[in-house]
Amino acid sequence: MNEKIILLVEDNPDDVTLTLRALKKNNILNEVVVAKDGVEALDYLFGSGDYAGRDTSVMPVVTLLDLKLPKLDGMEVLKRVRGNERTKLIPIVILTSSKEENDLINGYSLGANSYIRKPVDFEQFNIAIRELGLYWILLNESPPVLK
Amino acid sequence: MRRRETSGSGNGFNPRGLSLRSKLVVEFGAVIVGIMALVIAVSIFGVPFTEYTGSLGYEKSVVLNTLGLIADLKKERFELWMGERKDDVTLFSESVNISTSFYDLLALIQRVSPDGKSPDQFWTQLTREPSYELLVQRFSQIIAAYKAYQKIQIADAASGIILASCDEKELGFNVSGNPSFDKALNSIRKVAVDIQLDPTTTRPCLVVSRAIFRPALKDTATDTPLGVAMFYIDADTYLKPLLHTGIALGPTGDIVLIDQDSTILMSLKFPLPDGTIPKPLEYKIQALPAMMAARGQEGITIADDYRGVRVLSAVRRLTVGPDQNWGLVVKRDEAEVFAPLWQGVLYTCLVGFLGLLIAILLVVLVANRISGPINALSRAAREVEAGNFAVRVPVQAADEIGVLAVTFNSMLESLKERSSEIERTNKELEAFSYSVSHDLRAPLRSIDGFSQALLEDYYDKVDETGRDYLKRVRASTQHMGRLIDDLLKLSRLTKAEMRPEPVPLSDIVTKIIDSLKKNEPDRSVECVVEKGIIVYGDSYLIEIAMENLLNNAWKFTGNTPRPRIQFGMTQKDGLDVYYIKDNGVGFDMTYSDKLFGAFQRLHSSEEFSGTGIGLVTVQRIIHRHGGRIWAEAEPNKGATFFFTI
Repeated sequence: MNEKIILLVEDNPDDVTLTLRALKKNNILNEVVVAKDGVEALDYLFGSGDYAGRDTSVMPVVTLLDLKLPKLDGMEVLKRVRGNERTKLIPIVILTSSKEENDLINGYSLGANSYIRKPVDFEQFNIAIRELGLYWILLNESPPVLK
Repeated sequence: MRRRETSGSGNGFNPRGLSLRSKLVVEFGAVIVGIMALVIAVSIFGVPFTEYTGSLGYEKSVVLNTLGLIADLKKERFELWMGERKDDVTLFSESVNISTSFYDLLALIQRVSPDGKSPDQFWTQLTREPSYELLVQRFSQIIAAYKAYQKIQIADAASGIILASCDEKELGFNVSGNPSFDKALNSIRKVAVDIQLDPTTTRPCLVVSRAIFRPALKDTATDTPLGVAMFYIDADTYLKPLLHTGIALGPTGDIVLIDQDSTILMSLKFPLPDGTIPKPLEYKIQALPAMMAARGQEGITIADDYRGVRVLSAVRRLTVGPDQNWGLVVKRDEAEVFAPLWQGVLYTCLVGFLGLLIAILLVVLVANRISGPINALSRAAREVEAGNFAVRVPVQAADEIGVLAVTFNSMLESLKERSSEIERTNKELEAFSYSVSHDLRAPLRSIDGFSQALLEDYYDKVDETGRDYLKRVRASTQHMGRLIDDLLKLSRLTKAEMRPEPVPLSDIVTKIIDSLKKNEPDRSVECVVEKGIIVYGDSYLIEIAMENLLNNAWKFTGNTPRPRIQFGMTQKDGLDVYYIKDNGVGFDMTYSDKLFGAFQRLHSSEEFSGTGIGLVTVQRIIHRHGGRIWAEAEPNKGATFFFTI
């Protein structure tokens, strides 16, 4: 169970708090790693920078990726993750406020597994997080970690 | 229903009919062709018609005159010549020397009977006689004087045997039965003229003959002739040139000599229609001019000749003897006579046609010169329509089109600036709406999320009023969220590219109503949808518009006892007008001008929820389709929204 890490890439502390709360409320007690920008997210996944030396044989069961991020935006993160041999298969769910068609198309074209829009209504957000956790953590078989 | 097309081929305008250039060519061309045709027609049939037909007549009369003159000349020459020949023979036969010599020769033959001698010996002996030598000497003198005489002979009147000849080989031949011999014997002291085939050469020969009498008895009419003098002239060599030389009749011109039976006396110039060449003295001509000549008539005629070819001819009677006439036909083909005139007509046509070609060429050139710059403008306009503002029209002249080109270019310049400005503004707007969508919603989510967290985690620490406040905070944030969503949707509608296609409007309405019923199965609304209505437009946008209108109708009939929604089509001013009608709360028409304004609402949100964006959205969509939307309503009686697409 401990192995099933969730990576949350989100710069807005409010959203981090609310997401974490929603996960807890829905009894999803997996370890959540929070990256505050794109660079940090990549560092974690590739085991570089602050995360140098991390055991990269352990990959998050799901990465919740915001699109609007400081330094490196969500699309760029997605592109690099998919471009890397080791991380190209890991499940990535875009979790964003944007409902722009362009973002949807770009996200899916770059290989996002899912695209979820953060609703303003917190209850709906709650539901979304629950469904998300249920699916990606309980139901979905993770891809093998590539060496 | 207006159609809007966004295809690259332009605004859907397909030029019907001809281009400007073609029109110029056709119209100018028609005018010039008409004028030229008139000129040609006049030059062929008009003024020269009289001239031409006059020319025909004139030419005809000239040719006939010439033919007559030639015929007269030939007749005169022939008769003169023939007279000379007859004189030659008369002089010869009347000569005392000749008659005496021949008489002596006959007497000698009587004495020296040929009996018991071989003919050769007899004739050899005869030719040595002085009287014979005298005769032959005379023959030679005559032939030397006039070479036309081929041979001269004297035959015995009683037996018909040739007793004297310039050709000794013919001595002893019997000519009795020869028309020349017989005629000469029968017509006392008259010259007989005949044309016959020379038995040795088989060529037509003119034979002039006369009887010779004993000198002492020459003035007695009952005298019997001693012999017949016969002068032979080769007809083709001497008679034909006499008739033919020295005239300019043209290639088809010919002179035909015939006797009273219409038998040709000389060879003809052309073969018969069946290709055979008629032989002189054998062939009889049945054609009109020859028949006229055979009958001894004189005059001119236009008729078919022995070949069946139409000829102009002059016919003359040639007096050969007192009751012997030959006929002369001088003729020329009509076609040849008129050929120069026809050629004239042909030249006129040819020159006219050439002129026509040059005129058309000029018209095309002029049309090109005029329409060229206009075409350049039109091409440029199409380029601009396709989005290329960089194109410029070359200014070719300082005329109106040149001014138009300059104006067009400067217009393009400002258009280019304007369009890049619009592009820039659009980009800014896009960035703005993106940040609205993303950044404005984030704090709302926080407000709502934490209010909810407060309500859940600190429920007992807040009293009833506090909890109510928190709920209000949440309701407001959610409303604002919807407002933001609707605004974004609206801006997207304005930007979205249109893909026009046939849209089954009735089906869409039915589908939306079905989903409305499904969402609120408790409500029972009577819905009437007219079937089979199809419009042309962007199906996605039209569906959004219908959704908004039907949502409204659904929403505003919420408090109506017997709710009813109706969709259908009607006609107004010749246009198809579609409508959605409900019997809901309606509204006061006084405020109808606020109906389609953004965030304008005619009902309080307590009564009916909504953001006030719906109808603006509908209006935008209808306007983008080139249509119009308006409403008719009455409070508590319902509202009807009409639109065209």
